[in-house]
Amino acid sequence: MIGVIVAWACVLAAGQAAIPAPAPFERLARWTALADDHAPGAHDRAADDAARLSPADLDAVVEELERAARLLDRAGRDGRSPDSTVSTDGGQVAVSRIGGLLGVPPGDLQALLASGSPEGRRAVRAPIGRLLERGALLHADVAILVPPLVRLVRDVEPGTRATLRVQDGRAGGLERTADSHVTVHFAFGSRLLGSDAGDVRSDAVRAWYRATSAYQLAHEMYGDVMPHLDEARLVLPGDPVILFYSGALHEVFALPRSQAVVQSIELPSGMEHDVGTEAEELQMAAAFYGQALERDPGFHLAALHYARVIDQLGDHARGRAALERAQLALVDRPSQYFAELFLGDASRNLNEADRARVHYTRALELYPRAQTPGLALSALAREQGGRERAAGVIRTVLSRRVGRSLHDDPWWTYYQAHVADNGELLAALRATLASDVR
Amino acid sequence: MTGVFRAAGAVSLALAALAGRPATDQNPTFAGRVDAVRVDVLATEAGAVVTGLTAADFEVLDNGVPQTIDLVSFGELPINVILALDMSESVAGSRLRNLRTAGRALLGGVRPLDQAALITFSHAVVLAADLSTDTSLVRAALDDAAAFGDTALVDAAYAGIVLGESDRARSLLIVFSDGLDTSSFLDPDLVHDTARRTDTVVYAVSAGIPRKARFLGELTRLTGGSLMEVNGGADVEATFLRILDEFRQRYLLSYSPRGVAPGGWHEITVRLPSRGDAVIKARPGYLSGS
Repeated sequence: MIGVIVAWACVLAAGQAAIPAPAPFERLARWTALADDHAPGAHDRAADDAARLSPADLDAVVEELERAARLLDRAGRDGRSPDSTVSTDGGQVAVSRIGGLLGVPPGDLQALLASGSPEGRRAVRAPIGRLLERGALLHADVAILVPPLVRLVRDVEPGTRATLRVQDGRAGGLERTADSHVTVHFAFGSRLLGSDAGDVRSDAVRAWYRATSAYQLAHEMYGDVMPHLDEARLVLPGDPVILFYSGALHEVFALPRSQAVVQSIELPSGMEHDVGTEAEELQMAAAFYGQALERDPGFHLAALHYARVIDQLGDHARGRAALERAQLALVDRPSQYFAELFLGDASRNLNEADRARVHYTRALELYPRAQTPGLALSALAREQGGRERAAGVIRTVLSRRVGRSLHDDPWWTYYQAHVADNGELLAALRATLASDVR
Repeated sequence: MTGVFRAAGAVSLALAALAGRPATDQNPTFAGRVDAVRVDVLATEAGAVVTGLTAADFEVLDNGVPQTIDLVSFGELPINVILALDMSESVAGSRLRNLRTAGRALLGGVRPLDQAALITFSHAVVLAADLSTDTSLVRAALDDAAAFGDTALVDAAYAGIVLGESDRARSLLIVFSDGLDTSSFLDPDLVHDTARRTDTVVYAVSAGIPRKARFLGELTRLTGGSLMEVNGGADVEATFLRILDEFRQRYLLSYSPRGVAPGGWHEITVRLPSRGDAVIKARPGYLSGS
């Protein structure tokens, strides 16, 4: 679990470097340089510099970027020359400089200004879209790669959100979500992708939301990923992967590791947490998984988790039938393991001990060093009154020979199983957008 | 993990084993009584353990039906002491050192015919030392234990109960945890159900487990044990020794159920009619046929 709790002193000592009072588009100029200099996936100087931008700085960047795009469009409509200047806050700026700041190639700019046609203006919006995409990637990398400064607080303002730091099931301190390094930079990335300043490619938007959501889920950044997924569903309605991740979040909220947090916290008066009861979270998970499957009936991983949740909600027969269907299509070993474990549970819930035993045994065959199927087999034997058998299994599976590495038993990282490919998703996103770096 | 909360103010929106041990006279008695029910009983009066009681002093009801007590034993029987110790990340450092010290102190109170075992748990549950009269094996395992990972408290409690009931002697399971379950596979209700079927007595020692965490409280209640809160390292050691001493002072009652329907949950009531002020602690019942 993430358990980074940084003292106040660190925050006070580090401070934040604000961008000084601007000449026209100076903030934008500095930011576009960072976006262009950043090597996707690298914790480089550009990422560090971008991390120092305050929320107010970032607001100013977006404001300047959108204003620059409007001025450029108007210059095209008005048939201005590249060398002409336009008036903006803080002074006069050459049209060619605005084009350069927005990443518009001189040839495209010339064509826009010469024709002023809708086609010309659209041609200009594409490179601006690439800039927005690079910017979104830069700030995703900042959120992912630059160590955050955590500012813990005693109270949060009414109506605002806070993130709770948790270690080994225990609540640590509260952090105002608005202060969260991760929140700020992922939110800024999504704001760039939603900007009207340029034409962002829909594939890039989809890849960005999927990769960043998967990353946050994989790293248990649940306080951040919840609003991130809320927004992703608005931006990409009906996207089966985003719906699947939304279901995953609620399934994780139903797990003991989340419910334990709910049990451990003593919130101040007037505060409530977003984690529902186990049953409520399972119902939410089932709803999202179901929607994902409606959109993509061939989404086998969603089918597996949907079936598991159905069984946990008490519909064991339907859950098992769905698990059996899902299992047929699963090819990766961890998913097959989970399918066997869950089929074992569903069969036990249906009082079919022999069938349950077969499934738990198959799970053990898939991961011979795993202890979870052994615990399940022991519990099954104990339920049948087999004290000696139950103890014998325990002695075998809990001996020192059993693996203790997280890789030995996929159950130990089940909360990340939905996003096992998060690293590949990020790498693909970075590779795609890196190819567009000027 | 990070969770989400939203401050609501007045508006209140959601924020966010047994080889090598000589048999004792008493053990074969239980081995032959397949249907016998064993009940570990602690009797106290004004906070002090009541000693010197005989079968005639006790009254046992099984589903409200008075039973004939076949045997009462006190103190002399060898016992199994199973330690299930939380070795998750949150125990690292001084807590682990204190836990080792407390464990060694407990083992110092284990008698030659007693057996001891050690289960450690993080995300993995490890039988670090199986039941044995050779407590040096448990000491060595205790010294080797390292703290890391999550907390599979429920899985570990199940393993401890099952290990305890694998031997005919009276079994005491002491579960120590300073955290909440974060990674078990077994359902807490299933483990509570196992507790209803067992005669292993579970004591839990917790370092600050929140009141809302009900698993250990219910587990100890179902087995007739106790949940004890501790503060520091010395407190853990004293609590371990107190539990061992208390367990040795419990009476073991045995009866063969008569006049009650077989199967299902049987509520057990234990009384000391001649001592109206005595406080009795025993498991509240058992699941028949298990």
